[in-house]
Amino acid sequence: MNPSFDPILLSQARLGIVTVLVTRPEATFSDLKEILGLTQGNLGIHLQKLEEAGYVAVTKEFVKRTPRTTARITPEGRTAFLAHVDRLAAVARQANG
Amino acid sequence: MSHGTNGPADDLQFIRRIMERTQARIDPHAFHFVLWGVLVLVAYPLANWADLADRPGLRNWALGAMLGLGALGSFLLEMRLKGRARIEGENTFVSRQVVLLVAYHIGVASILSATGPATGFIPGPYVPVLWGLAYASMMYAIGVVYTREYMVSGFAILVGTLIALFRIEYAGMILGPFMGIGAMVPGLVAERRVARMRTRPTELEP
Repeated sequence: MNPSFDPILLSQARLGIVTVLVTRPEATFSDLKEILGLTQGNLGIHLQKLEEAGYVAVTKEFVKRTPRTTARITPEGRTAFLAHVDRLAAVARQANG
Repeated sequence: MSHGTNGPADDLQFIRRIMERTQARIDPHAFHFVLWGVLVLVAYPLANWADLADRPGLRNWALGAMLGLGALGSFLLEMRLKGRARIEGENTFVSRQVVLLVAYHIGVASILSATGPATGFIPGPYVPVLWGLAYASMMYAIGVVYTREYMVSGFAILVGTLIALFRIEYAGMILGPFMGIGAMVPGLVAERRVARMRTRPTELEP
């Protein structure tokens, strides 16, 4: 594993979550579950790790008496994602000669 | 899950697929375009024919029925959904932009078609042309934020509107097919896309 890669984004599940949140302004828990095909428990763990790293801001609220969890990308998360994609592209280019 | 098994090229491919999947999950409620397309396709030529045959009662009935059926149909179709999303994980940002664009164009055209003839700014026979321009602009703008077929449709409606401008006595007969088919085709394409998204199982298993 290349040490210059961000360890938080080495998990494809977390990379997927961040990719969704870079692509659209916000996503609910069920949106992410549907788009990424993750189980509830798996998604919860990865979302928590991203929140702890400061890459994602999670808000919990009640809408019509139903709890709703919404995630948004933070500026740190966006910067980390772009840097990660740059590194991936650089390594892929090297591998292709 | 990591580069140990997938490699950077696979991860880049994965990011691309997720982005495409996220952006594609849009439901613009295109059934409204199909409904109004059908109504315009029938009512505009009928109203035009009634005008040429000097039957203003039939013209008013055709246009009134179009507006009434359109408003009722749109209301009932929305009520069926009861605010529920048809696609799980829907990207509502673009859907909201589509709603705002439709509301703006229809609102402006409604105001102008009421005030234009009353003030003499837009003579009565040119009102269908005004609606043609509104539809052309609306469809093109939706194409910019949503999918290309709306853009093509907007351009086609603009061509029809320009033709109608030079044959104003047949404006309804010319604009009916251009506006009707121009709204129906991208609407049907969008509805089929939404139906596919509703039935397609989740493809990604990260």
